[in-house]
Amino acid sequence: MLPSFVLYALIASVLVSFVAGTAGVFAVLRGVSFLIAGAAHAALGGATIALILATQTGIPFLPPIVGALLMALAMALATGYAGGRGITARMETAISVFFALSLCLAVAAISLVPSELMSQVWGFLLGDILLLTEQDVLILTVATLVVISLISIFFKEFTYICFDMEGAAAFGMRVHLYNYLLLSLIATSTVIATKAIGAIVVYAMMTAPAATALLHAKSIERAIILATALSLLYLCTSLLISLTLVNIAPGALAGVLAAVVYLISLTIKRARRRIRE
Amino acid sequence: MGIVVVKDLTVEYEGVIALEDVSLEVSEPSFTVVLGPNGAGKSTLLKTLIGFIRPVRGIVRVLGIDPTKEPYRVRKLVGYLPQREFIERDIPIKVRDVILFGLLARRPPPRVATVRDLEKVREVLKIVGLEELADKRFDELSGGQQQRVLIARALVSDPKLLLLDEPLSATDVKTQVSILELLRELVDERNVSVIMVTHDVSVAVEYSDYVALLNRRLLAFGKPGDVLTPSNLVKAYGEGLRMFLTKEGRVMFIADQHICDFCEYCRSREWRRRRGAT
Ligand SMILES: Nc1ncnc2c1ncn2[C@@H]1O[C@H](COP(=O)(O)OP(=O)(O)OP(=O)(O)O)[C@@H](O)[C@H]1O
Ligand SMILES: [Mg+2]
Repeated sequence: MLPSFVLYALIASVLVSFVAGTAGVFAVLRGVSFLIAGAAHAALGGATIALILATQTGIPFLPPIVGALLMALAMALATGYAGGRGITARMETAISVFFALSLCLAVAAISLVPSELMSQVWGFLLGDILLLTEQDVLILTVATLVVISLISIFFKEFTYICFDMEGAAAFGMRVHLYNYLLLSLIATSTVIATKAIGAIVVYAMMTAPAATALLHAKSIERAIILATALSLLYLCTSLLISLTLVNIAPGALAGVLAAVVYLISLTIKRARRRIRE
Repeated sequence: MGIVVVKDLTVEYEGVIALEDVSLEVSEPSFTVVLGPNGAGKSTLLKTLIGFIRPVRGIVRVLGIDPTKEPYRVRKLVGYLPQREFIERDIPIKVRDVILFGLLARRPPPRVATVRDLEKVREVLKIVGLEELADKRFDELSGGQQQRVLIARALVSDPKLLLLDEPLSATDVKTQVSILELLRELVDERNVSVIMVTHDVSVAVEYSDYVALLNRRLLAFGKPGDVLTPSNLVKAYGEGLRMFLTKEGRVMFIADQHICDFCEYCRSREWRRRRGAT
């Protein structure tokens, strides 16, 4: 029988792979992959603020992950609002501003955190996939199920707004609604992944497998399947290495693997194209 | 009931006027071409018709519906082709799915394609001459082929009104002719109305029933022969351009100072006479 922390880490790897595969692919297609970095740092700030509120003021029911989720969602909605009718450049600017803001908030909040709680902050920054509790796993599972089902239900809508937002609006689709929903789901996925692998690494883990998959896949469905499989492979490999060989942060290792494989497959793809031409 | 009614329409972008006091009416199924220089407000006019932009003044009715009040109703009935700007090219989506988009986006979720829908997709692909490409990725097509797919997407829901913003851009001459003939046929045989933005004056002369000549204001609206007069064209495009009809009846523009020994214009009698006069 596996020790429970290993079991939880494996379950979390599966969950993170699913959100990294689906939300990651849509984030790349929608041109908002930077939102992942922003939402991760918003999550860090949100979690820290929740931590301070809960311990200093005694507000009873605000677990750090809820604080993280709230801040990340606020960031997603602000991004959608600033982007208006799907203009990527404007969304980029909005994301940058909120990224900077949430980073400052996070730093300010962290400076207020009493030293005995710092380990929890470090957990969000670097990920604590090997320290998850039963309650954490439960929350992550529910959140992942919500994200995956909503993305499957609105798969066509999300595809359409990624492909041609103006056309979708012109055919009578409520594009703003779907845009906000998609951005919120990307933010939620980011929080899920941040809890497990940390705010710093989540950007690599959610964009690199998706970008790799999109280099090769012939359809969005296949890209999602491939990205999910790649993420799972990276995370399991890293877990294995960190449990048996060197005591290294598994999330970070997975992020490095993801980025390296992306670079290699990009090079291969370019080389192949050159040969064909 | 008018198909499109526009009265005293004024549209601004953040205080800058893009359209001013435009009034026009399309009352029977017909082919209307909108002409005008860059920045004239042509795209703005179409966007106002489907309720993307709220006018600051004036009345707009499309198929009897007010697009400022019920944009979603208008949009489900109208086939709109945006000017090529915002389509993301790098998305792995098949040609068939791009066209299904035109059907399914108009329905409430769940947007499931039926056998009839797939038949319809095949039908419009045939019309634009791309039936073998149904399974290809959209981003692997040439620019002109992509444009044809988007025209098919605008046609697939059998709309009674088509609003097409520069549909001929990036297409070759043969494709242009086949698209224009298709549009003409839709108007003549299936009572469809077309409002099309183009920069090609000869298209207006050869295919349209009405021409709207726009440069912020509506400079002229009516039959092509009445609208496309030299003085109107000067009003729209400014001095420095001349218009002439080739032997085949095509309208061409030419720079005012242009002189050569080869082109039809320079060889035409009128030009010789002018040259002799100076
Ligand atoms: N979103 C916008 N915000 C601000 N100004 C705009 C916007 N869209 C268009 N304009 C301005 O409104 C005017 C009309 O633009 P419009 O796109 O309707 O011109 P057009 O006739 O379609 O030109 P083109 O032939 O280049 O397509 C232009 O001066 C343009 O700069
Ligand atoms: Mg235009």
